[in-house]
Amino acid sequence: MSEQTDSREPAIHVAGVSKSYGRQLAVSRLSLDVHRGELFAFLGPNGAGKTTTIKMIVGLLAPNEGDVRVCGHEIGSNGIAAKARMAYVPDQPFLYEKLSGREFLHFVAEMYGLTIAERDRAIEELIRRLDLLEFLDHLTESYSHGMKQKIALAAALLHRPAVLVIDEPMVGLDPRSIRTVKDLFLELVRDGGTVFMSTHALEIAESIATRIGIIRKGELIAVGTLEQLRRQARREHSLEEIFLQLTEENCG
Amino acid sequence: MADGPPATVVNARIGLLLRMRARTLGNRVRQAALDAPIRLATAAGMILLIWMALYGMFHLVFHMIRRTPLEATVAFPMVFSFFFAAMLVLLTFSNAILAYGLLFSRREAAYLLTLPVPPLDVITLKFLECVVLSSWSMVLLGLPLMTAMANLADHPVFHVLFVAFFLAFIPIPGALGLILAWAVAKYFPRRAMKAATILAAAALFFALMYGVRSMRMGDSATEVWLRAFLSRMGFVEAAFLPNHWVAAGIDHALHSQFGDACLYLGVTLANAFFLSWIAVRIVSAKFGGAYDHAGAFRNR
Repeated sequence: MSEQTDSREPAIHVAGVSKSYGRQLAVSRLSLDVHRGELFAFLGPNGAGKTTTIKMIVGLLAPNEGDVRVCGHEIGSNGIAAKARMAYVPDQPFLYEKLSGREFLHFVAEMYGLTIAERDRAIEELIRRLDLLEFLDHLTESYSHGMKQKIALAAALLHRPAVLVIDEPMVGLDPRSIRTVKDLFLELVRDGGTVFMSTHALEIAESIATRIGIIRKGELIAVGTLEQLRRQARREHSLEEIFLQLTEENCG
Repeated sequence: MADGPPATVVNARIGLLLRMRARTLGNRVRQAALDAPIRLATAAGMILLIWMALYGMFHLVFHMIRRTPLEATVAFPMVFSFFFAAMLVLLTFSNAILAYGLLFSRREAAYLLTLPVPPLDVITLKFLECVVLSSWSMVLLGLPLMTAMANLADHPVFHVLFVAFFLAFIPIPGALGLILAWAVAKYFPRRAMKAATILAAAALFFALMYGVRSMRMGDSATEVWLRAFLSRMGFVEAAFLPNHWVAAGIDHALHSQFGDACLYLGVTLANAFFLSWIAVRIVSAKFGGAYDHAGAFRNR
């Protein structure tokens, strides 16, 4: 396994990927490159194939055809190297119910090979930024959805991942936490990291995404900056209107 | 720049996973002791009571049988052979159901698969969990049986030997169950529960039919019936079956044939390790495909 990653390689490289469940095609020949320093918002109606695409990127599902690479490492054959550089937060974050938030963060830090000093420094900063201190030493089974989301996010950011893949990051968060999470994402991409975010919150995508991709019925129907999407939709309006127009146009 | 950890090859994480599991268990017990101490004490008391009652019953039975040495010579190996044969079947199914749930239905497996953990470590952890979780009933039933038996032996070392036989046997149905769960996920993901239920019902049906047929062979009070019944059930004592190794080993130990008992213990241990190794290796190498196949239908 290569210890160095080529900085010219896209952070996420999806080439001609298809996935079907039985006879139902969920994703069809999807190709997409997301580069370092990009915050990519992945949009689409329910059942469009967003979650399937994300699960193929993080190695939970194997594509029927095509190739997925993260930081130059093929997720199928060299999954450990790819996963060591990546973090994934699903829409329903998983936490060990019988661990406290702090114990869970320690577990994840050790999993990614952080030293105790690195771990403590990272946890200290995330406690402050995400306001975790009050409940950090309680068992996670007592947490609300928002608290779980914040701990899962902190766990994902502990090792400063090169690629953060996150599904509906803002659900259950209060406005202050949403602001903090946006700032954390922007800092990560400013430092050369990549955020791949699936969301239905179009105003959040509009405000922080570098590029936006729209998927419908398993096909990527539009990719580009907000300006490029506006040109494609021939509209000078909000992302919501562009999204509605593009997904409607492709219905027929 | 954020580039993750310094491209470290993540080595075996099984130690970390086991420590985490021990911590969750410790937290669970601590929480139960704080929140519901009476319930915890009642559960522990009931388990102890059942254990002691079983021990007392087995102790009486074995002493009664031992009064007639001829019957004891035949009965002891048969009791153990049948007991471990039944346990082999029951624990294989129990392990298969647990392994399917732990590997393909619970969200933890999906979470671990997104971390830089080798699948071998995830499967090893889940295998150990299955063996522990599915074997508690055998510990409850089997240990008093084995302890009562050990009390018949003249030498105290046999207590240790009996427990060793017992522990050496447990991973064998665990390994078979793991393979069975993987095969169900790989080939029957949509019908996992249905397939498991049908298989279990069919096994139970045939066992009952066989039992009823054996019972109806003649006058149940006659020696002829007993001989015929034992003859029909002779396959249970086939030399290649794990229950035979354990039963034969215990029998040798009971007759102070220490060398032969150790030989059978070695055979049981070697097969338990080999089967476990094979099962964990196969399932971890092919886990992605089975998880994908099972999960694909769950996660549309």
